[in-house]
Amino acid sequence: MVPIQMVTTNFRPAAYNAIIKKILLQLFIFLTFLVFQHVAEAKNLISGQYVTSSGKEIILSLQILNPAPANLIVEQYLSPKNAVVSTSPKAKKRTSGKIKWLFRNTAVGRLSISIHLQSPLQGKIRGVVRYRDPVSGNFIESRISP
Amino acid sequence: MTENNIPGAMTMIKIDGGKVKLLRENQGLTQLYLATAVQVTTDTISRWENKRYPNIKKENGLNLAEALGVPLDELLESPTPDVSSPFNTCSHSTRFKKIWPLLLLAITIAAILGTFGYYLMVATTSIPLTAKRSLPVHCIKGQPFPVVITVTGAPTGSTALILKEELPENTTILKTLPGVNAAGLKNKKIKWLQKIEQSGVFSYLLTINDRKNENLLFDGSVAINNDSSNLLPITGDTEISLGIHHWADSNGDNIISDNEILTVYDRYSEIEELGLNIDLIEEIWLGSGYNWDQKTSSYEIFE
Repeated sequence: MVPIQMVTTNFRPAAYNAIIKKILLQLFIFLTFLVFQHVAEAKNLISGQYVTSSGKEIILSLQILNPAPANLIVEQYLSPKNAVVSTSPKAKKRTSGKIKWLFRNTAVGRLSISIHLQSPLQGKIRGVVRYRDPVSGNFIESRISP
Repeated sequence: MTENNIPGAMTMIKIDGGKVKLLRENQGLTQLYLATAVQVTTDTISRWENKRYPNIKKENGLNLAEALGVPLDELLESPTPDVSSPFNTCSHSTRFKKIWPLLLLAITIAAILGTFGYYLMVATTSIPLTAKRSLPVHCIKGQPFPVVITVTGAPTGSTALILKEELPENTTILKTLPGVNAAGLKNKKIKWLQKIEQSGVFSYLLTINDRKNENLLFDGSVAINNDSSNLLPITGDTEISLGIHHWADSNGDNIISDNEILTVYDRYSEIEELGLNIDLIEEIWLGSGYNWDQKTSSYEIFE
């Protein structure tokens, strides 16, 4: 009786525990991968880069992927020492050191924003893109640096 | 077991009533003859023959076997039914003849119930209809705000539906989209009779006139083909509160943030023709904040 009891009590739970642990670990890794992949995909719906970030013209190029967010806000920060002559497309708001655009009904593809300065760029620049994920509705903010 | 030996009691055996009857009839014997031979009444013989496996005294069984000219074993209950036996064939066929109308009735009822159940199941599952209401968290008395109901129907083809919305007291409907006629606007109720392709957006612009209640409740339902049995409630937001913040300023911080303006555009772009005054919302968003002036009933926007 004793050896049989030892076998049954020691072997089966340990084996089952190991299998369950293994399954749970694999499930955790899989779910973590899914979550990170989802977040990464959501954040990568719009990517941006500066085509030029020196001289009198700054050009920011945005790549909008599918599913395209319907509306988009872009903010461009630059040193208040810089005097902005014009922007294309026309900005919604221009204050010292900040230019703001609101794009509506955006579509998949490339969106180019240019800023004409009175004199060559002084200081550093950075941009921010804000939109709502069309699938989840989450508010997403991504930064763009030269 | 065909024989029961109970100490101190008489021995009982179980005989096959059908066999007894068949053997008697084959030999042209009467129940009276057997009754006389076994020394029981004709009623007893009749009862034995009509019962499937009657319990009788072993002594009577021996007399019965002797009268029928067969060994007792032949009269005893068969432990397992012998399909090839003429006795069983006869009894099964007789039983079947007796129960076949019942079987037929049972099968018919089961078929009707099954068809009805299937119809119900198909009827309920083939209508993937949902209606969800979207309300701002708050609004200002007398200032218009949008209510949006998104209806999702069958994934393919069109769905004809009736959407009913019951409004709170002391409210005024300014506009509906799609538009409804006078019959569709009665006693604080809006009724749309519409056909949608996969999904549809129903919206209206409303103002709250009085401040009797802080929170106002909305109720509504959607049905397909005017079928009240398929009436579904509108889910989603059901309540709005009165306050001093613009309906688009969802967190009530006197600022319309980027997230809030994007939400307005994402959610209400389709119904701009309702008259949402998006320009005002954008103006507030571009400013650094706003304040609601109750005396002048206007927004003060800060640069």
